[in-house]
Amino acid sequence: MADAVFELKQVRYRYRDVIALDDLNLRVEEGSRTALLGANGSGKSTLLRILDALYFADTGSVRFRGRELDERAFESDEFAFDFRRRVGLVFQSPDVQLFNPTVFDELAFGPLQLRWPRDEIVDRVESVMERFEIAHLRDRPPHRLSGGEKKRVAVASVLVLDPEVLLLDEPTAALDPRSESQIINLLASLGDGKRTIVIATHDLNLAFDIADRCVLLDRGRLAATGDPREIVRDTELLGRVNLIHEHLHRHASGIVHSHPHRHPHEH
Amino acid sequence: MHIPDGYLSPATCATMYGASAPFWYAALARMKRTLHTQTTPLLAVFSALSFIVMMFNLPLPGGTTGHAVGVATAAIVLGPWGAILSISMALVIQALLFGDGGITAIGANCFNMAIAGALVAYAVYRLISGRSAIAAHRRVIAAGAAGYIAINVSALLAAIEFGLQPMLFHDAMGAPLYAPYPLHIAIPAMMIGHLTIAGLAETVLAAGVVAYLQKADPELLEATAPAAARSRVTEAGATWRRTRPLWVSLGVLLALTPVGIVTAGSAWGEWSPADFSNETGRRQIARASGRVEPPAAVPHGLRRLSDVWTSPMPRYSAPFLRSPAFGYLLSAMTGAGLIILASVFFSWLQRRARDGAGGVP
Amino acid sequence: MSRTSAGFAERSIHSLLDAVDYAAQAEKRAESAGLLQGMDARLKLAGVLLVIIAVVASRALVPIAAVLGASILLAIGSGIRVRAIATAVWVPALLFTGVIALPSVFLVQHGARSAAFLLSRSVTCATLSALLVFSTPWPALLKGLRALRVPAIAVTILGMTYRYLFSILDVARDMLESRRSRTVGILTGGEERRMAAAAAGVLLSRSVLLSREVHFAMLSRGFRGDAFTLENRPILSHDWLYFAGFAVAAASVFWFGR
Repeated sequence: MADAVFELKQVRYRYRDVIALDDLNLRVEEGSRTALLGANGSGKSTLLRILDALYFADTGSVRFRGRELDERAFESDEFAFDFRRRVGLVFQSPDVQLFNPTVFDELAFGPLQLRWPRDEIVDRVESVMERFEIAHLRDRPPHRLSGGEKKRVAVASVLVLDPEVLLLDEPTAALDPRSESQIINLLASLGDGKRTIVIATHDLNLAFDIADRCVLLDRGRLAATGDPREIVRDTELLGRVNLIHEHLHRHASGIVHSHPHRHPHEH
Repeated sequence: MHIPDGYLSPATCATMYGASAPFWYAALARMKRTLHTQTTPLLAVFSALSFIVMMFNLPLPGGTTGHAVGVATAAIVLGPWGAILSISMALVIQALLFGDGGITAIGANCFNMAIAGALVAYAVYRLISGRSAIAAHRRVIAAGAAGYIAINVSALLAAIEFGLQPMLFHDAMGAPLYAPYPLHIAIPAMMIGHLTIAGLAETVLAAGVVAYLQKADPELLEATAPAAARSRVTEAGATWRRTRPLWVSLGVLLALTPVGIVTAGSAWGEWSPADFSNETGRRQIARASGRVEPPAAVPHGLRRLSDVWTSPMPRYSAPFLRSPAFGYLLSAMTGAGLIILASVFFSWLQRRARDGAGGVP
Repeated sequence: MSRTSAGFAERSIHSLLDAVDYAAQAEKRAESAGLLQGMDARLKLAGVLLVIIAVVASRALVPIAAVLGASILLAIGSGIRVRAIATAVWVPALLFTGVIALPSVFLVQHGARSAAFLLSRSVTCATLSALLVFSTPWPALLKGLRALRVPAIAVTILGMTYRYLFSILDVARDMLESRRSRTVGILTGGEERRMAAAAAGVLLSRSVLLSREVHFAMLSRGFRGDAFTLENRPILSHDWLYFAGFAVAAASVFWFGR
């Protein structure tokens, strides 16, 4: 059995009046690709932020490679820098993720914060820009990028640190089909066994394509875990957690059909 | 009110930069200490917001439109230090990028609008709102008053900066090198526009936003209401009897504004045409002007202007009271009267909105 | 300044669109090839600043006029159309300052000469600023401020402000446009004011939300409160040459205008 990268035990997190996560137990293994499935409000974004130590659990334990993630741990610069380099989170909205004046600055931000030497930063940024084919955008401000370009820059800005854990929040949301397939290909290419990937999404196709394990969340609680192929086919379960809905439509012939609306995906 | 380049001498500009710098550094240090990492994105977003708000064309009572700076709103939501920084940043971007306001004048503009404006707005708001509940009617009045007074204080400071230029800086021939109007022209010229249109715009924005936030997002008002009663019951409109002590304190605050003018040595330039023709007057002028003899005839423009200002307030003072300080005090009192009128107007608006429409707009 | 029949939303949308347009134009000009565009931003900023200060300090009119003339030549050499400067800078400066300066001719001793000073100074300084901004991309300009010892945190915040200006402008425009399309007929003053205040309030709430999210994004990439900037363009010898040109110009103005 591979090492556990993350181990969550009875994690509870409350945001204002809402219990976002309740009695959550989770184990993420090294090199695994996990899809956190759930409807909006199920707590999957919150869980990602708990994993990225942006939120700290109210009760319960959150461990990264055996180290407890609590506020006290992050008071240490050394630990904080180490963690931030090793775990990266791609936010859902590129507008939130791209806060620097130019693409070059954006990619350089992480290394700069971690106090890397100047020359190393420049080299690393150049090579990442090559790899993601965004070198021609180096001096472009984020508001002049297309949706797909923004997403590529957002992912690149996290990968420039070469994290061993990559967390992604709805990576294909609001992307046109071409950009969506680009991102999916990119994520597929990142699988070299060593990198651990956790994706929060309500897109069943994405889960099916990328993940080797699905974790289903329902209103802050764990509803199911298992093989993507099984979960995706369990329409009763998916209906219960609001990931699919009954779709009513009328054909030209006048026949009315009703069936669960999802897209079966063949390989 | 954004002062362009060329209106203020280098000495004035440097002084204003020097005056602003300690406030900038203090504000930054304080924000970093209390908010640590949140400061950076919060200030950036807020200064972008104030920049945009400065472009809103606000409809004003009377059928005109005006622009507000948003300094009171910033002070109420962010507190005085956050407001100082975010308004300053918005002003810097306006000057550098959009050419609105001069680069050498950034220090002066920030001092007038961002620093003095924010501090005054915060003080007035806290003074008037006191311990009232977050949703209290009194806070809306407090916000309106804060906006009005702050913007007029900013305008007054700008007017003083302008007005001092001809007194201090002229070329070999005696022509003013920078802003050419002395205090007694600069001040009324600037204040008229701000006591009316710009001031009202600021009032409308500040009062309106606070009223909106009370219903939609009251948490944003909590930063500047540490002693507020956290009750869910909305306070009924404050009666005059209850708020009278507050107005008295406000009056004291206003009474202090002429002190700034008097200490700037405004006696120079405040002569009447009569002073030019009699002997003692001429000697006084000469002594005060570095022994330069005043022209034998009353400067044509000065006489004309004197006539213009004979009514209603002859150079701010009743004929029998030639003291400039008292005259300015009277103007400040008139300003206060206008503030009270504006607040009454607004509470009337609020009451009508509550009773009439009966809901959130 | 009387209210036209266009409502608050309409007028504000126009102002916002103009601002975006202006910024877009500035960006485009800054990226084209030309004399000034080829100069390092830090030295350009310092050089232009020196000349602006000299112009403001000058007690003679001729040096100011000379700088104005030289600026026009520089603009032409940088491919910046003089008409662009005229509309963006001269017309507003002349209108604004003209209105202020005109009465001084009658009211103040030596008023005409004073008006000349005021006008020439404000127009020349505004032209210099415009040259700076039209020929330099904003991020480079900000990094130039670092060279003038402006604290890194301030530069970082300014950079983020510029970037989020466009986000919030878009949100503001969408919001105003949707309100405009939903209101039928002319609103009363009070209704318009409430709408304006509500618009500002909504923007405020969303801005605070945005700042919280951005804060998390920054934390996630290792932000601990300190700001750093990276300048990745070296200063070349021709940059120093240009800077020397600015310095000499400033010194001459100081000398002849003393």
